Amino acid sequence: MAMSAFGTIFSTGTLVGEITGITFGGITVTPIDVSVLTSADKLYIAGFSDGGSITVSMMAAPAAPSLLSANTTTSVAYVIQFGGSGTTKPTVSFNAFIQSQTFEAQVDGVVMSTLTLRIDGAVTIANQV
Amino acid sequence: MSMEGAMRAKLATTAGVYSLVGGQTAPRVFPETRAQGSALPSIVFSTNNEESLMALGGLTARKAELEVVAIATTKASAIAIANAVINAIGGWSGSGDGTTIMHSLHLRSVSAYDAPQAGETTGAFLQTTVFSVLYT
Repeated sequence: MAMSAFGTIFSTGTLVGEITGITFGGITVTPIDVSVLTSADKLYIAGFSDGGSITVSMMAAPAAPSLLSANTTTSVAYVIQFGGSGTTKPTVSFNAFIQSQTFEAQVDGVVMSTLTLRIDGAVTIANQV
Repeated sequence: MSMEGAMRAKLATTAGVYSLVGGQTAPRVFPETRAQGSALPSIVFSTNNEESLMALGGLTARKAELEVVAIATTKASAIAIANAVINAIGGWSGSGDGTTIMHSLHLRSVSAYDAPQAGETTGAFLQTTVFSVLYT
């Protein structure tokens, strides 16, 4: 059964804004070729996993006590609960730092910001559906 | 509490507008329609094409097209009222009627003429100004 994205929660103390989209590029694993001359087929083992990056689009909503966070050099813990809170909803937990941030202001529009978070370390996925 | 209430209040309390449509005490600024045969010049306003700006966490703001029609017995008078309306709410942000107006931007204007209705001997010149209003 499909799951609505409405209500998705992005838990962090450093981002201030009203999120309109979250794109999680996904985890990739580097394959290591361990084939030998006597192998009949290609053989691989799993190497390092890479959590990749997450793109967050949001409407900037400056509020006390701080405005949108600028780039940071420190990894911060984040949690994404797709579809809102609930014990059966998939949850993705990871540490990441802000790799880039852009702003956009158009006539007759709202101020938008797009952040790219670089995942640092392991990604934990719980309650997968 | 409404966006229309806030915009109506702004128009009705702006000297450049109310001085042209009946004065400060009883400015002729009406929602949707004016009574047939009622005094001119006057202003009628309505909301067209309102939408919600949604975030993943819920409603964050609303955006609407507000049509403000200046109605007068002469073309020059209708244009003067329309210009006063643009000066009053074009590029305006503020609050009223429990609503926060983040911006009100003039998008376009359109002119027209209303032939005399039943019971009327003269027609009316219409100058419509359309605004994009972002509010919460």
